[in-house]
Amino acid sequence: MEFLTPSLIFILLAILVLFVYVVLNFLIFYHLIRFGIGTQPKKIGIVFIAGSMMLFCINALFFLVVDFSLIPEQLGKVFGGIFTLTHL
Amino acid sequence: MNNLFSIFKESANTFEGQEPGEKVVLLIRRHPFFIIIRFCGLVIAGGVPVVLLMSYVPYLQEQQLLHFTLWLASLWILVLWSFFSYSLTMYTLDVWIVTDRRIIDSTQHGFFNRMISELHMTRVQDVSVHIGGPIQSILHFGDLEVQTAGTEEHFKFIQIPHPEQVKDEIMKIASSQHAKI
Repeated sequence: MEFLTPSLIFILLAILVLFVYVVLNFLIFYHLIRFGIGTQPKKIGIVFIAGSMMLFCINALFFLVVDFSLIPEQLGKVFGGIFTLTHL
Repeated sequence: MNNLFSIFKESANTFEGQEPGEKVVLLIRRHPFFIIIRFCGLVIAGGVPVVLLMSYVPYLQEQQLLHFTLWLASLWILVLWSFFSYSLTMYTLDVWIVTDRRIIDSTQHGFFNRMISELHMTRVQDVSVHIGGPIQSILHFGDLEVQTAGTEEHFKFIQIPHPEQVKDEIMKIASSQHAKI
């Protein structure tokens, strides 16, 4: 089990979450287009899929610029400070 | 290509199981008030990270956590967007169809649970409307109950807009169907 490094676990989890997100989006879009009666559900479906893609792209961009190796240390500093203040 | 995009412009209110020559008279969904309320709740929930971010930007920048916080905020908005879209899908797929021959109730409970029941106009005996409470009175929505000739369960339209007009329409169709017999 040595190959299961924390970074690999993180990537696998990210892929799993992405898969669930894609399936959920597909189900919503499919239901609106396939079972919706009239033009309104189809329009909602298009707006939904466009919004999902846009939000996903924004999210992916922020994900790419975050340096995750620094996060635990920075969070430790912030929350350490808060806890010290609370304790005082 | 023109045919593909026509579904967004000119889709007659056709539905699965529609009989030849059957005309859709009314396509009814619950009053938009319920989906607007949910939308407002989600706007408030989505606005929280934005307000927090705006007030803590210098501090987060100093701590090198701005990008991480922006990522978390966008993730939260993505989750809210999916949640709202799911609610909107359920709202949109929950319909009552009044045709010139029958009433169809299509209820969606989750993605894979759908219940469809129908009632023929010839079996309609009485229609009653219930509007209770100040919000329902102001926004003109309420419940409508169709009583049948048999001992079966009554057909209910829940929180539909303008129930009196729907009642009049159903009674008109039902009486014309009774006259044909």
